[in-house]
Amino acid sequence: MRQSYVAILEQEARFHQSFTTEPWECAWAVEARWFLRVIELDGAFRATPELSPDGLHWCAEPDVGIDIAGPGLHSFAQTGFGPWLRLRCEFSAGPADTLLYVYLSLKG
Amino acid sequence: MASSLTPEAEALRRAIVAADPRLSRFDPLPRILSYCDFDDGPGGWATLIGNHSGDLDEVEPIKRDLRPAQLSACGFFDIGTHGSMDGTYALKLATRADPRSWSTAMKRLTSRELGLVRFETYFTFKAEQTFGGSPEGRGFDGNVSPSEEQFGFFTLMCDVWGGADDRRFLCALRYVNTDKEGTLHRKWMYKLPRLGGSSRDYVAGRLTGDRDDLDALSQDDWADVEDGYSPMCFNETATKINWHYLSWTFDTSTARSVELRVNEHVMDLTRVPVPTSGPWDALNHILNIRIDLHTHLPVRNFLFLDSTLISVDW
Repeated sequence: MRQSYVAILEQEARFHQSFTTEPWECAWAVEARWFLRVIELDGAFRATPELSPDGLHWCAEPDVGIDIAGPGLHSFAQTGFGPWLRLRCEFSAGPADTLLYVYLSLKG
Repeated sequence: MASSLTPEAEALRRAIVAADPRLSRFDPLPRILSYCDFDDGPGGWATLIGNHSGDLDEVEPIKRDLRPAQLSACGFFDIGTHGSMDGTYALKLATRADPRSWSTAMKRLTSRELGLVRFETYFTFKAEQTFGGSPEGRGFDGNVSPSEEQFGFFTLMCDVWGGADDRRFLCALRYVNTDKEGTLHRKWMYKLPRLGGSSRDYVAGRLTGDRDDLDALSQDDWADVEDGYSPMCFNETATKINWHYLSWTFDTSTARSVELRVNEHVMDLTRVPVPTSGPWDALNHILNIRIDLHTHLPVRNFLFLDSTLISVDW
């Protein structure tokens, strides 16, 4: 059977500004799916995955990601990533406040 | 009840263990309860969260954000993939780059009988590579890495139902590389026999919610293990890993730690006092083994486990 793992990178955490999640090692995985369970949101942000060869130096994968403008469960898939992933959540101009979970679901 | 193999059967058992390349590096008791090589997944080493009824606001703050362990290829910026001891993946505990951060991994079992339990692992530890020098400690001299002083401590703990009168006891051993003042110690300590850090204590208002130790009421509630000075092979940089053998044996029939071994260094724990409570609802025959990791600095700390083995004498 294939391996799978769900990492909870943020767990009902509140942010008042743009943020990135902790790095997560995913060299073993073939596919990833991000889930954002947004409980509260004042403002809007874009969630963009970032890639790294070493967990220290990062670049965006800008064509993948979603805009989030309200509470609810949001999700997108990602393939062809390297050995490390993290998520950048960048607020638009204006208010910035959210309470959310960030899940990274991996299969390989 | 301890296993009672004949000498011939015991010799055969040892020969079978020695002939298996996965097991021959270990020294298991007669029955292997769990063997994890993390090339096959995380093996049930899950993180901890404090007790709640569905509302995470009920969780004591220090038990709220315990970072889970991840499958790591042990990669570094200067050499690429290091790999594990004889494969690609190890289990990696990783803190945030935050001096309040902890990471945990816990194996949750129950016991069929009372007796000896042994936890073995091959492990190594590192602080994350930093750039631009280290303001905290000594400079780089080509031999000793400043990053060694950026690693805090890791803890082994068991939470067990046992003893002659069904008590709950919690043994905890801590490898203190540095303390919260940044002093390098490289020694083993044990948790003093003081209780009071449970979720029940927090819900009852007996904890203030700002303690600095996940495993004790305070980072001051620890004492030196006799002959516990134990410098390890940090190997000069933040990006070279050398695997160390560790074996910890405790006895659920006497509610005592027995022995800690790191490579050739054997420490007798039979006189170490153990925190003990009376029977505890909902934990009948619990046999939990936990590993946690803490950084004192805004630098991620990592603890890598190549493999783990839990064995018993029943």
